[in-house]
Amino acid sequence: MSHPADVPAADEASTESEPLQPHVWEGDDDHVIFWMLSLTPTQRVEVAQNFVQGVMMLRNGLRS
Amino acid sequence: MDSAPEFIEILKVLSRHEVEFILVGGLAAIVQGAPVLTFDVDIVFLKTAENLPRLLAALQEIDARYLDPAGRHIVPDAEKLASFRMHQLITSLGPLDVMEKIGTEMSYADLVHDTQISEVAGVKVRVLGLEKIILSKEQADRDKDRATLPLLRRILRLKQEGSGGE
Repeated sequence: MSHPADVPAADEASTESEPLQPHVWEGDDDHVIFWMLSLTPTQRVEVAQNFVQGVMMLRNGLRS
Repeated sequence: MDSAPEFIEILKVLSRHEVEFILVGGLAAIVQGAPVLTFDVDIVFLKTAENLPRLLAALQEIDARYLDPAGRHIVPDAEKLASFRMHQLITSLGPLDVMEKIGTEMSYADLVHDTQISEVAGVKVRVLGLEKIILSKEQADRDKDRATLPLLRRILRLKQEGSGGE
């Protein structure tokens, strides 16, 4: 498949781009951390509860 | 495990039976503000003659039985609670790990000074402090424990710097 000369193909772009950086927590994760810390303990547990319920629903759905 | 654990309901049952325990592990980290995922409730119980019957009554109310790969129906009793140090249980409200000690021999008495009382859905729960949660996970040294350590250390640092919103 051809593509414009000034737009590298995906495989070319990946070889020419910056190497992947190691993951650091001091980035986007801070938004989640600060949001979680802004909640009350009850709300934090409810968040965890809802998330686990979602995971279990997905898991059970995939099984059936 | 086909249904999601009912974290708050488990805490309510333990509280109703006046069980003296410390919430540890993943749910303790969540109460402390860590966005981590857990599928069970982990507690360290005070091993005294007064507390064991309360714990047993709470476990009986939620139909606790030992997680047994062979599928046998083994329920906790006074003798097992007094002698076993680790009780990996399935209950009507989800998985519950009841431990006498965590990490390298840290018992209720060793941990209680590093706890705080948090109110969760109207229930006052003694929760292990973040520093001790980190220490217990360092000592446990399992893959899943090591995976959460950078996040827990970061949250601890934010809290210590006073930028953690608490």
